[in-house]
Amino acid sequence: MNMKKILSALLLLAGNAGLLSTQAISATLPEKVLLYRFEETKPFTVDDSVAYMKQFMADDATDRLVPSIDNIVRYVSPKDPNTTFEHNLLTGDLRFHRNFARYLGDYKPALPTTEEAVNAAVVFLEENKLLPAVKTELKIAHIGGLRATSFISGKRSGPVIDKLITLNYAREIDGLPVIGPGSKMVIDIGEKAEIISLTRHWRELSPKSTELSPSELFTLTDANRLLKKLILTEFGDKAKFETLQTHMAYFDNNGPTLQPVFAFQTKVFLPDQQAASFDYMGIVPAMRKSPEALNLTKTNPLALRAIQNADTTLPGGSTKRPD
Amino acid sequence: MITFKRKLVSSLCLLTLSAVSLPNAVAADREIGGYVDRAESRFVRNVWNFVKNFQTWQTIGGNRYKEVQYFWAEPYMFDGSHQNYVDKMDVAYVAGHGNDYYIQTNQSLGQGVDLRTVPAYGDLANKGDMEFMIIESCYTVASRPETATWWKPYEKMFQGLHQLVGFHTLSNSDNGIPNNYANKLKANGGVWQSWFAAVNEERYWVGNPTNTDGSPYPGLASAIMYTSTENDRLGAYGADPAGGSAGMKTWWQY
Repeated sequence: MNMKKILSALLLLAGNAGLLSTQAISATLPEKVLLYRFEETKPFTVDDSVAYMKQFMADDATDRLVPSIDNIVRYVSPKDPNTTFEHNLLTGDLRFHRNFARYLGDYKPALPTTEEAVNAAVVFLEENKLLPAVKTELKIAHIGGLRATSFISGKRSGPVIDKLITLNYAREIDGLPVIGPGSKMVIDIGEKAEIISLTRHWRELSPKSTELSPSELFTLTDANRLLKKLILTEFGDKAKFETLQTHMAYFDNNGPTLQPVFAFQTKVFLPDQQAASFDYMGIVPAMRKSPEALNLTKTNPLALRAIQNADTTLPGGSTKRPD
Repeated sequence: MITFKRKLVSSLCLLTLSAVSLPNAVAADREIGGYVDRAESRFVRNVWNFVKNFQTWQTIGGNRYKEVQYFWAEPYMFDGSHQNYVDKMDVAYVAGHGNDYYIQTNQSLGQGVDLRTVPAYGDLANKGDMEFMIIESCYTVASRPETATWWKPYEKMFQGLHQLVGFHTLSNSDNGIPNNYANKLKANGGVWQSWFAAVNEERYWVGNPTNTDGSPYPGLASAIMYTSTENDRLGAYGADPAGGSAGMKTWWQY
């Protein structure tokens, strides 16, 4: 048995919620870490939503736009569930999906090349004044898409049809990725480079950022300790994990600040041998005094109180008729 | 006396109106069930963040929806007693660990359900009721990228079921997907279209790819349906498909 195997065996034997890899320790931290604040903007109004709808959804009625309790204006065409519009009045997040009905069925669109798709997206963002103030923050992270196929009567599948190209844009600040629900754009490109959908979650940063001193930040060792605690809490004290990659990133949680975090790509191993290991993204704050709680694993107590055990509760529901 | 008669007539009219309108209202009532893998607390959060949006009757198009079941999952809810559980619902939302065609129900007991061997779901074969099944888990809704004969594993399961929605890759959960998805459905968005949008809206990039199977966070969505049901939404959906593989269709993200 060579040293690697011995070390591996020792690590597997070592205690609860064991760290199987020390790769995390080798991660390097950036020279400069800042706490950013987003520009304060006044809340949007339904009039703004109407203006956006007229800009992007020319043929759809704008007379019934009402914000939901979460301050998001949502519209779905009564004629076509593929035609949708959403506008968050607090964050300005904008999403629409249009002209897709004809892509259903066996229709095979003439999609552009990847280069043409990217060019079309940039032109669209520019023409509609949707590009970020600092254009270099917008990075294309992934080019994927949407595919479909049908079963042809008989014994075979029909052709795989490329329906859309999906361009995923991420945000990068000081060379670090921005993660979380904000700071992203997703654009679907269809036939002849037409823009089918846009997801734009983007708020501009205030120039008033604060450079953080090393004493304000957790060390990587601290962060690993927090990760271990997180995994213990989430997966039980017998879970083991392997850290595959460690990153410092900024987290946009739709709050007032953009704060640094440690993002650990891990593989978790549970004591139940039948359960396969699985990937888990463990995120812990990088600041000792985090300006906003991340609350990424907070369970509403009602969620646990309301859940029923079939041993003690009869199944509910009454509509047994076909519908 | 005239006043009394008027009141009586008025009351009778109201009663008649109620009697006439009640059956229609009830006929449009639809039920939602949530089923949680007894494993990590994130699966509770996943299901709760969907069903919390249906704690009271929610009018969507011509129908009303409410959560009437919210259970720790058990295999019999999907198998032997499916007519009393998932298949008694119109919409079933399930979260847990998964694998190809598989959804775990209890981690410590090593229990789960294989969709290839479950009874037929839907109105046609077994007097079920389910139209839409959403499974938030890794790999469960395997599609064309996983196997060329992608429809075969679902032939038996689909007997009136309109759509099965989930992931064909690893899935990173514990995020905004269930709540976002529920709100899109409440706005009468398409069933699979809203799921794919909710997944796309959660994407972020750290490491590239984020997951060890090559998929980006939070995984890549997939759906199984029929050409006749691909525009279904909770407020209005088509007649039950004939079942089996005829007309079956799959959509997936890559």
